[in-house]
Amino acid sequence: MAITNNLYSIAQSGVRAQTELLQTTGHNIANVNTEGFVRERTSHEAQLEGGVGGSQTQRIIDRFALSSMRRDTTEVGYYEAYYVRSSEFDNIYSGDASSLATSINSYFTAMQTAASEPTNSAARNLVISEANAFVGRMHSFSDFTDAKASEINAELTSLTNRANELVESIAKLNMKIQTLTVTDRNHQPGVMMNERDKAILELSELIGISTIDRPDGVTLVNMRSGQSLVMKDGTFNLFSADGDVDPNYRALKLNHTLMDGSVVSQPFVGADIGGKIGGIVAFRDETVEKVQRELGQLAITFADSMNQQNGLGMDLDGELGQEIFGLGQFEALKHVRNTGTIGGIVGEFIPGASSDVTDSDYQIEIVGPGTTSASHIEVTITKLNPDGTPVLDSSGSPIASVTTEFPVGTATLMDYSTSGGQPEGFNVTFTGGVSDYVPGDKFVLQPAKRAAANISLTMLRGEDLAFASPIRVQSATTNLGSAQVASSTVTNTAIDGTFGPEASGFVLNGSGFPELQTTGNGPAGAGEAGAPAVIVFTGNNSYEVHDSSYAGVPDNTATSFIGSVSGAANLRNLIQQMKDTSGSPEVAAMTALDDYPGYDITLTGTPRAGDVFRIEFNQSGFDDNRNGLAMAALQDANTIRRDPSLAHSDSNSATFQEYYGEIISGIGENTAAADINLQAAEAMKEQSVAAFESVSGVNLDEEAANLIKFQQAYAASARIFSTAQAMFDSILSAMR
Amino acid sequence: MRISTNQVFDRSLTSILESQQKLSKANEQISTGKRINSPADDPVGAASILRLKEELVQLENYDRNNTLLTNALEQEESVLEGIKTAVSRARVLAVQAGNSAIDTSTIGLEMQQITQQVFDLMNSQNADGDYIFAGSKSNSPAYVYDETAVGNKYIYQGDGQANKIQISPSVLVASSDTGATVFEGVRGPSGATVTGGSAASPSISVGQQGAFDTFHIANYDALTATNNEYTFTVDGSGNNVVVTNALMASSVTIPYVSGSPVNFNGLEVTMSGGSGTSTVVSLDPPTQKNLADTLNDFTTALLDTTLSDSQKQAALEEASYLLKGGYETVLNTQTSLGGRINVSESIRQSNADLELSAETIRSRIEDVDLAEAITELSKQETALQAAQATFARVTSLSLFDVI
Repeated sequence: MAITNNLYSIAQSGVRAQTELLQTTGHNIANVNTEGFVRERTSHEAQLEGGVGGSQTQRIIDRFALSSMRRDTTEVGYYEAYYVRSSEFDNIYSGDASSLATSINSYFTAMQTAASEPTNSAARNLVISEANAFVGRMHSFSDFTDAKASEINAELTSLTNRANELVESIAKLNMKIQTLTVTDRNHQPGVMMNERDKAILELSELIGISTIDRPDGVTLVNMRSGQSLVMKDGTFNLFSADGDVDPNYRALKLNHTLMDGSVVSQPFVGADIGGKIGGIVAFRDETVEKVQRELGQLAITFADSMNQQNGLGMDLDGELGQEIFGLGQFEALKHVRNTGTIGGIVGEFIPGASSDVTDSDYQIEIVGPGTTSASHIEVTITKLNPDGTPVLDSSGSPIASVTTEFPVGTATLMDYSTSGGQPEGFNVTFTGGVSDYVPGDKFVLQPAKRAAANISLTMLRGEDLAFASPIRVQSATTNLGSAQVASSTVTNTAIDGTFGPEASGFVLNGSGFPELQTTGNGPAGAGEAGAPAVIVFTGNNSYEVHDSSYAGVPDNTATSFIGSVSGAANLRNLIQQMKDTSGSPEVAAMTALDDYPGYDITLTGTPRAGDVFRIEFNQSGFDDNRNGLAMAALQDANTIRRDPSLAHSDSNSATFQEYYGEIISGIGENTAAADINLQAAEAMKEQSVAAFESVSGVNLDEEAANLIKFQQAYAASARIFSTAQAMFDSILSAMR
Repeated sequence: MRISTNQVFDRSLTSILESQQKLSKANEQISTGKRINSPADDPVGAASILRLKEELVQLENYDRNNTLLTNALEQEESVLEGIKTAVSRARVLAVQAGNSAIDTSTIGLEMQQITQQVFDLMNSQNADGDYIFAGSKSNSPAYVYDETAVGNKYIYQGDGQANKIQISPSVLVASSDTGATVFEGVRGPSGATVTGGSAASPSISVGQQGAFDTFHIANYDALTATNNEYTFTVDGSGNNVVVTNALMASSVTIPYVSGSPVNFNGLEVTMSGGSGTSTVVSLDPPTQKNLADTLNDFTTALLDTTLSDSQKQAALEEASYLLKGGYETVLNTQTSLGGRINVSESIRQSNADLELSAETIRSRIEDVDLAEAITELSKQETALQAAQATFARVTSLSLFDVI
């Protein structure tokens, strides 16, 4: 009896085991297209008393393949996010029609044509429309970049929210898995583990992570840089993205909850975040923010060089040239945590100093009241990259911060240097009183960031383009020598009746037109000569310089006398040579100024005693293109400072087009690198996914074979029943 | 290795997608004709292209400027040619007028026409209405005629500023010449005056104008009047004249016969008297006249019936001298013009060469090799077809079909 009974229980266990196996196979087949599904295997053990024992169902998984797949998913997420956005930039910035290069070329073409025919007003107006087109192009690039920046901000926020959701659900699933695992060791909660691993995989696409698997089924998640996201007790840390200093620049932060319940936000400055979020942040820092500033620097230098050169000429109305472009002011951003709320900092570009401007940001940290005077404030300045890291010098180490003092309320040159002055091309003004600034408060100045958006065209009439030189040099018809005017240069036309350091030899007459300063109106004051206007030779290498009241005879005691040179080695820059020969009160007064009178002449040939060269304001000299040629020549001038850690010099400078080319090729290089890295990462991911799938994926043929196998085993097990039945029947009939 | 069913599908799909991507890239290259369609295709090449395109645009500008320059220079040349012809005629007339048999008033009438013609040419305007000889003051005529003026009646209103036009990165060529250099400042015959000395009624004349001009130009002192004084003193022997001057390092001794002229650098001084007799001669300040005034003064002299024969002769001599000088100045300007036209032509050619080479380099960097691209296209097409065929074959295999 016992035998038959045992046979029945063996048959029963066989049928049950085969049913379980068929169930698992069915489960696998059913989930062949379920994302994140890991195939399962049910195993049994034979029992001592015969029959098959209880089942154990496990996921078939390779931990190493899983973590490789996560790592490669992070890489693909990073480079894909980077590449997709970068290639859009790449196309916009290089397209022939939309390119700034085309705009710069058209502007200078118009300038060349107009300079060749300085009285042609149609050609002049074309320059203005091209300038307008240039400004428009700058604005549309800036708008495009702004739009990208705000898209990135929005995207960063939504991705951060998604990451937070994932972190939270991982933590919750962990807890459920832990509970289930503890209650039933034989049956893994496979579905939940799949869900959790899917969430981790999705998180790894967003951000670089590392995981630790614990025996109780819990998986801990850390950021690649070490910070904990999901902890073993089911707690977790969340991200936030906000614009602390710059509201248009949201930065990723991790909020740690401390033991006492308080929350500490930790920013990731220059850190390797990885994943889609890291890719977006890197793209923003390396491309969007950088390009915005570089374009800004281009706009500043372009506008300022044009303004400066135009200011050195005379327009078609007979006036000195005015600004062509406007740049406006920029205000320092305040840190949210600043306690002083009143004090602000305003910056303004210094006309003529644009070659010192860089694309850097400047952090100004308040140290406290200064020692120079009661109205001074001591601050520490740090030159920053767009992502908030310090700018590196040519040897790769961060440029040291500078602690210095600024007077409040006065525009003061931003001077950044560790040894000797390194001007940055703009002035800063502390708008509040000394007490309005609290030590520890931080401000960030971004001179270049908004410049492409702020540049405007202030000149509306082509007639205002100052193509003519403001001075005319006439050699007297009675000159006996062979000397001719080789060139005249104008370097300063600033009109300042009070003779501040920047004053030039020009003054406005009663009707508002410029002329050279006459006797008594020069820097030396009443009773002394005015601006240099006559050069009379007293020998072939000696000359006297007089103002416009020169009486016709050389006389170093006349009121009109300014200075003299004897034994000149050459006839280059005659006024400068006179200034270098000290003597009269006029020369002393002139050399005390920065650049007076702001013009000079060079002769060729041999002068004879008595030869006279007169310098006068170029009245009605409209068909003159000397300054126009100088403006057109700016196309090839090295105007832009490239490396912010070094001062502007011949080796550290570029032309407009070169600089734009560098911006373009910078974007191109980033895009190309991202493309190559993306392909590499995709290939890697393909490998690791294959490795993972190879272990954990469902193979329908395999399952089909199993299905048949288990079905046959099921039939065989059922057959045991009928055998036992037959045996039982035989015994019964034998008994009959 | 074990392959999951999903892998079979994924792998086939990936290779189809990859082939499609490459096909589309080849298609883009062929349809745009460019190898570099965005900087990422070749960042370094893209920067070079920008630079080359700027260079090409600049070269086009230079070419346009060159056309402008050549037009201006050619117009000026034809104007100067007209002036030269007129002045030549005037010089012929001046010679004819020296012949006393001819009535000077008819010559004077022709001279009136010539003067008017030259005056018109001197006020030539270009297509923009700018006066080509007025320098930078081209809005108003280069010359105005003021009949009430004492002395010179044709007054230059322009300045000495000639515009330059850029025709290559480093070459700037003046696109015009100003009246100040072409017509003004023609030097009159040098002269001298007796200003003192003990000789009774000495006389001086310029025997050899050329030699005296050279001497005058080299020695005239505009600042110190006494430096222009030359003292001719008969020495103790009575047979020589000693010439002294403040600037001369040593005196000059010339044989002397009383009453006969002494030649000193083309200047002939005639005085009488023995040892110790002296004559002080001062160099006259140089005179200058513009071309229009020369013609005008000559015409006036020809038509003036009140002038004596000797006065007329003197006017004629002065006119001939000035016309020769004026003609030479115009000729010199024409020569320099020809030089500038040659320069602009040779620069145009070298710019064209540069343009060709820049264009060639640009094309080499930017443009696609069509043969290569089409080969690539058909290669990728084949690959895609193969991938698609494979997909159908591989995915149709299933054990479920046979059980």
